[in-house]
Amino acid sequence: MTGTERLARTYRRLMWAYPRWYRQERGLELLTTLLDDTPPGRTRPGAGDVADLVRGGLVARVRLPRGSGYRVVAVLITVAAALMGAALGVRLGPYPGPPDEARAVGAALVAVPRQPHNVPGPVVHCPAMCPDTPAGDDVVSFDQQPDHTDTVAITYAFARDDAAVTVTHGQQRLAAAGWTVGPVRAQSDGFTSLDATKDGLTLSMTSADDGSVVVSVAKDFSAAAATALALGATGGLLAGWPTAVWLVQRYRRHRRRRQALVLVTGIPVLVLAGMCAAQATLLTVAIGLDGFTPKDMQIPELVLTLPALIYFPAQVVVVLVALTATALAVLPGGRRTPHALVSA
Amino acid sequence: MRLSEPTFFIVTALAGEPLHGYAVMLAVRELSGGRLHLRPGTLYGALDRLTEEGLLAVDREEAVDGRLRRYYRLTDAGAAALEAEIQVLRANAATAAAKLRGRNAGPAVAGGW
Repeated sequence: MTGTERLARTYRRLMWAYPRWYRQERGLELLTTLLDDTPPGRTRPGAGDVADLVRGGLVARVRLPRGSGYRVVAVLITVAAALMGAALGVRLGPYPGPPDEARAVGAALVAVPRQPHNVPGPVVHCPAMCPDTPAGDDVVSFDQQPDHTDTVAITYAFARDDAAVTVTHGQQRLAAAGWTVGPVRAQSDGFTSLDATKDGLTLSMTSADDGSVVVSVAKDFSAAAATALALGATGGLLAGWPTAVWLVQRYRRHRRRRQALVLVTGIPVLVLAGMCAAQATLLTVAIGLDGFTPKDMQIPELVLTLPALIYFPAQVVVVLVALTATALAVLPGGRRTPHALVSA
Repeated sequence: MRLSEPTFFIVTALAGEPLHGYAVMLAVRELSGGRLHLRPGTLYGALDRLTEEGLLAVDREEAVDGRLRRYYRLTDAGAAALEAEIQVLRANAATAAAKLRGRNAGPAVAGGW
């Protein structure tokens, strides 16, 4: 192997920094210029050329072509990827899990000194949205699929006029037992509530105007789990944008008929992605005003799986349409020539 | 739209005849008096962007002995952008020169203690 061949091989390897579509269309031209620019006798690229090639390749991976439509598509894909990453981070992360029922009931007994009837109570598996708590002095562990994150709820039936007073008394009893107790909040819809924390548990107490009082006990917000969520979301962002650029670049290289098919299948999915992003934002802001609890980490997965909660096959249909749009965008066939594209 | 200095010299290099990538690199080096040494990764990033913006277009390709040279030419939009940049640079230079003349012709400022 001659020195020039060895150098060309090294340059080709460095050009892996560029996306595949770029190497296919511009690789030989770029390699020619690199070899032209190399002083005679040199068999290895200089450090400056290496850095320049890697930087150029990374820029090519993240640079969108001109056009506001491309920007909208890229942002939606990136946000959807961030939501998926966050949901995955919560699933795989060190989530604290539900509290032990006996410990939760013990905490509830401090707030409401009345032993619930059915201990141990049933475990209700609910996909993100749980059913209403039962009326009566019952215990239910709400164990939400798929990450088993929720609360143990202890419900009490009081006389209509006694419920709000029970919350006020609960505040005093919890404070006396060393809990850090927040204020009693009376809401316009007749609900009265308070939050308290102690020893890694968060206790929420809510009374309704029908006389029911619900004590929910969950583990405290976990910094490690929140970090896993943040890392997942960041990974989604970092992977989502180059993926969006790749899809857009593949889309641009198709003839108009194929582009129309990509749009017909892709636009509904992108609209859904936008709705998911809007829902996630609204939920995060709305819940954030009252303070986050561990179960709020489910927001990314909740908004991504909402169609399945309404109608299960909808989720499958959305995934299939998204895969179809992606396949239509990335699979070869009916391409415009690279020269025509560069000249455009 | 203002042109950065490397972009200005790339566009200037192509103001004459169509050139391929390596020829553009040499021309930029010469036009800038040796100050600017564009490397291929940077050059092709700029060529891609300028082509997308319509300032440059591919003129022709030459493939010889397994090597490919693609020639770029300045478009009318590119020539207009270069002309606009020249006007801005000329106006800026005139303003700076006038200020400098005023400083040199003005009363000497007392210095020291």
